[in-house]
This record gives sequence, C-alpha cells and structure tokens, in this order.
Amino acid sequence: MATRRQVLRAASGAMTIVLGGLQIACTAEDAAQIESAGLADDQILALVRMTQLLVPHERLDPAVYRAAVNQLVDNPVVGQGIQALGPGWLDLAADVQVEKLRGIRDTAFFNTVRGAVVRAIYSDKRTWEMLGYGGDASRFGGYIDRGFNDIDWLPD
Amino acid sequence: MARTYKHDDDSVVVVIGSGAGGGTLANELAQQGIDVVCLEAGRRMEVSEFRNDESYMASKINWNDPREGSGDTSRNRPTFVCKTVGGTTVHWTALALRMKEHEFNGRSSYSAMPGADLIDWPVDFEEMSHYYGLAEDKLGVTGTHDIPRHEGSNNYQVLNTGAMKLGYPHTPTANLAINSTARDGRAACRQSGFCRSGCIYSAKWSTLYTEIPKAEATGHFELRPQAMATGIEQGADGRITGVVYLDKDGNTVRQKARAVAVAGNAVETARLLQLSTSALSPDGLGNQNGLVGRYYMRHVFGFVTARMPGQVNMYKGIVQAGSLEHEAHHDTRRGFASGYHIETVSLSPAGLTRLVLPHEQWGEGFGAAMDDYENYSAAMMCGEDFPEANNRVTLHESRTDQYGLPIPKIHYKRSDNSHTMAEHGLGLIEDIFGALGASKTYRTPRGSIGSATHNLGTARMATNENDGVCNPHGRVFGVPNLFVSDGSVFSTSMTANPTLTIVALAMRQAEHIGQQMTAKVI
Repeated sequence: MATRRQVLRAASGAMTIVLGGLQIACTAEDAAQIESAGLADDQILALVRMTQLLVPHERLDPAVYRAAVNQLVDNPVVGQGIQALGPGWLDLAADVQVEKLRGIRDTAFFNTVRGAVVRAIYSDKRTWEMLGYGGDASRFGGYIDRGFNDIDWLPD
Repeated sequence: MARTYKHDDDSVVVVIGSGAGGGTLANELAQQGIDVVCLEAGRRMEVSEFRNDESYMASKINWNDPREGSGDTSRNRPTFVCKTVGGTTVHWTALALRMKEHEFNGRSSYSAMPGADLIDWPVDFEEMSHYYGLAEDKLGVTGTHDIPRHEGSNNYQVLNTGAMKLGYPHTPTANLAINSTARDGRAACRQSGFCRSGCIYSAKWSTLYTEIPKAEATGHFELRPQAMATGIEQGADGRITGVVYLDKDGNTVRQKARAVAVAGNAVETARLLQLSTSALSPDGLGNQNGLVGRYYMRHVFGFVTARMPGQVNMYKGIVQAGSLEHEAHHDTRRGFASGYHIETVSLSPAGLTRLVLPHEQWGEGFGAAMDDYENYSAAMMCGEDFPEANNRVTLHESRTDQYGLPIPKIHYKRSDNSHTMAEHGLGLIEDIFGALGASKTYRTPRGSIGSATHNLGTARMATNENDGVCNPHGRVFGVPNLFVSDGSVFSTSMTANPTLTIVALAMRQAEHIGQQMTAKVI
C-alpha cells in the first residue's frame, strides 16, 4: 500500500503547468502538506492546480498557493462542486484545463474558489514581496526616505 | 479633566457621533463652556493600536453592521464609512477642499435638471468663506495659512505630468489636512501611505486625537464610546427631552438633554430621525413632509489604473496627494452639468484586484497584469452628484441588526448626468495616463459604482420645510432644540470631498447654538 506522499509524488510529473510562456511548478511535497477530511488526494491536487491556473505567477512561492487551498478544502461548496471539473481533468493539458474552467465560470464552486484564492493570494506577504509591494512602513518610519518621490522616467 | 454627567442632567447638549461633524461641534461647544455628552457607537482606539495593515484596520474601524443597498449600489456593502471614535476622520484621505460658488448656488447655476430637486444653499457664500478659513486653520490644511505643501509622490507626479502633457497647467500637491511640518502638537507626515488605516503618526487630522482630547481638557465634555443611539425623545411641547441609547453592555440608558445634535453620517442620521417617533412626529423627527432620508447623494466616483512604462510604486506616500480641478467647472458643452476632480489614489495588491481589475479576475492575463504591480498608477474622479427624491435611506421592513433596530435600506440610481460625467472623467484619466505611454488602462465598469464613502443630503438644509429637513443653521424644522451636524445637511453635493465643509458648518453651528443658549432660546 503506497503512502499518501508516494501517491502524490507519482502524480507530480503532471504538476508542472506550462501555460503560454509560464511554467509553474507544484511538487507533491506541497500537495501532501494539505490535509482534508472531505477531499480525496487527487481532488486536492486538482484544487491546487486550479488555484495556480486562476492566479498564475511563475515566481510565487508554492506555499502561498498551498495556504490558499488550505482555506478551501473544508468548504462544503468546494467539496460538492469539485466534481464539476470532470474525470481526468488533472491529466489534461493546461490550456484545455483553462477551457474547462471557462465552462464552469458561472458556478458557485468556481466563484467561491476564485474569490477566496484572489483574496488569500494578494493579501499574503510573500506575494507582496514578489510583486514589489512594501506594505507596512512603520518599521522604518514611512517611505519619506525610501523612494516615495524617486520617479525618474517622466518627461520634463 | 474629562468629567461625567448624570443621566438626568438636562443641562447638557448631547452630540451623537464623534467624527468630522460631531467631534468638531462637541469640542467647539465645550470650548465655550457648554457641557457636552458625546455618544459614539464605536470603540475608542488609541493611536498606538493602529497598524499599517489594511485588512486588520478595516476590521477594527469600519462600519460593518448590516445595510441593504438597491438600485445601482452594492447590495451588501452600499457604504464604506467608520464606526469608531473619530468616525470617518480615522480613514479619510484628508483632501480638504472648498466648495465653489457655482456649486453653492446649484439651482441657479444648473437651472432645472430632469429628475433632480436642486436648491441653492441657504447660507451666504461670504459667510461660508469665513468658516472655511477657520476650518483650514483647525485642520492645518497645506497650502493655506502659510502651511507648506507636501512634496509630490511618484503617483502625484504621474498624474500632474500627464495632465500637463495634455495641455493643462501645473497643479501643486493638494490642500491636505496632513501635517507637512509638526503643528498643533502633531508630527509631520512620513509618507507611509496608510492614510485609510488610521495615521500612526497622527499627522493626518482626525477628531480622535484633536477635537476629542481638546474637548476633554476643557472639563465640559464626556465621551461615551460604544453607545448606540436608538431614539431621540420629543416632549409634548415639541422640544427634545433626551436620547435613548444602548451602552456597551446592552443596557438601555436615557440621557436627558437641553439640546441634541445628530452627526452619525448621512445613513445613520437618517435612520435615527426616522426611528425617533413621537405623538407630534409619528413618522419620525423632522419628517412631517416625508423628506428625511431623501436626496441621498454620494458623488460620482470612478477609478482608472494604468500600467505605466516605468515603476511608480503608488503605495509609497500620501494616498491623495494630487487633486486636479481642470474639469471642476460648470460647462454644459461637455454634455453634463457641473464638474469633477481627478484625484490620485493608491492601491495595495488586494485593492488593485478589487477596484481596478474588476473584469474577469482570473487567468493568465490577470496574473500578468498583477505581476506589473510596481508600474501601476491610479486615479479616481470625484464629481458632483445631484439630489433626487427617490435616492433615499429608509428603514427595512423586516431585517434588524444586533441592536434590534431595522437596518437601513439605501436606494440609489445614478442619474444620466452622472453617467455622462463619469464617461467624460474616466476617459480623461485614461488620456492622462496614455499621454505618458501607459500600455494598458483599466476603468471601473459602468454598472459598478461600489460602496460610497461620501454620503450626503439625507436631512438637507433649505430655506423652508417644503424643500428640506433643516433650516439654514442645521436645526430640524419644527423642533426647537434638535440639530443635524454632518454631511446629511448638504443642500447639494458639490464637487469637493465633503469633510472640510462639514467641519466649517459644525464650527458655524457651534457659534449659533452658543448664541441661542445665551439668549435662552434653547
């Protein structure tokens, strides 16, 4: 009997998303850290991938996606709705997966996931760091000496 | 020196609300030696509790009690205001602008507008100018009273330079109630960019750390936080006798009063007046002509963000450092009446997703758009909105809140004039960014007008009670000792952000109430 981690590792070959010019990795180690009473392992993997397709960022720490999924796995709307992705969705090419997502974009499932993922990812300090958003300025006394007026590309 | 008053002390003036209107009025009365009890629904935060953290502060200071919107406004969150000591001055972005004379005389300037019930302000413009001067001094507004203006942030420089590219003149940084140098016991701004989350330096004027402690220092003032007013009581002679409220433990308290001033922001003020029924006022105080809650206005807002060719880092610095008035005049050749300001606004990544990429918020294009966060610049328009009778605040027929009160219902339809103005304004902002080489701009879609932070007009001042709820001093028609002291009294919305006008009116009203008390009229 394979362990959960082994099952996920076996599936990890399918977990690098190639979408347009983007390559986004998700390792089995990441998915294995997500615990859910209600979702099967392949459903968790599907949710991780869906999250990455919704908000694709090549440079984003996979832990941020994991944190977003962690907030969703016990949501009953997600548990009931994830079947909508259809059997074998996880094995499809990324652009086909996106097409399937487009087909369910008016469902409660899709919008619950989309809303929660966007909120979670763009409120995460690791995302801020990747995007170049400084956030809390109190620790160094504001941006008055840190570039609030340093723009250098405007025409005279 | 803060003191306490007995509940049966009927010599006090009760002020409901501690924001720009209530906090200012309370302090101005206390400075005259008038005893004031200030009821505030929210909690009293210390500045040391503030954090540069949008979502944390929103959970602490926002008015999150249920409200129901209809028409064009957000259904679940029609307004964006505060419930905390200091009111909405804790999260305001400190643009301190004066009303213009043509706006002040709205009816005369714009003549008959279809659907709108326009009136002129029943206040002398010269007199108002005097109080604007006092208010600017109180707030320490930059660019007035020899107070230096702020250095311009990157975001301001983009907006101003783009406008100049289109041929508009240079505009310095705006008149801001944010200290550019230490003043009035408060520090200078450090450009941290968290104006909306409570200023950790107290550089931005807020009644929380100006008017309230100054009032306490007089020995004529008591603040009661977490006190939710549920009714104002009217005696058989028409005079107000006191205010009923729920204290922080849910106990019902009855505070007697010599006079009462309501300053709960336009939604709560309209709700409280409608909740306060009596034998003389069966439909609520001041509502004998059914006007309480009507003529609700909220300014013509719209947002544009732009992906610029270089870094802007809009989050650094004062949120609304720039305010362009190039299109704030009245010129019907543009296809609409009155005008609008263009104001810088800065957004965190989460704010950017909510406000500026309101289209399909997912997929490759969305991720790529967000990847360019450092290059975004953003601006909003704030235009004059007109009073319409059907835009109104009413009491919900069935839903109640945690206090057992009917929740406020807010119905708002954006007028054709406002739609046309929004098209013009958003188009111009796009042109400004485009003039500097923006590769892409995003605007709020026509159907999305969101939550209102400027809520006005629900108990408007007029020369007679057929046209409004309050007389030219903000006293409720038909009630000798009841005043309204917030943006509810605005006869028209004007183009400018409302706070400076609210403060100026509160200072004027405090003088009036003092005179009326001396003369034993109240």
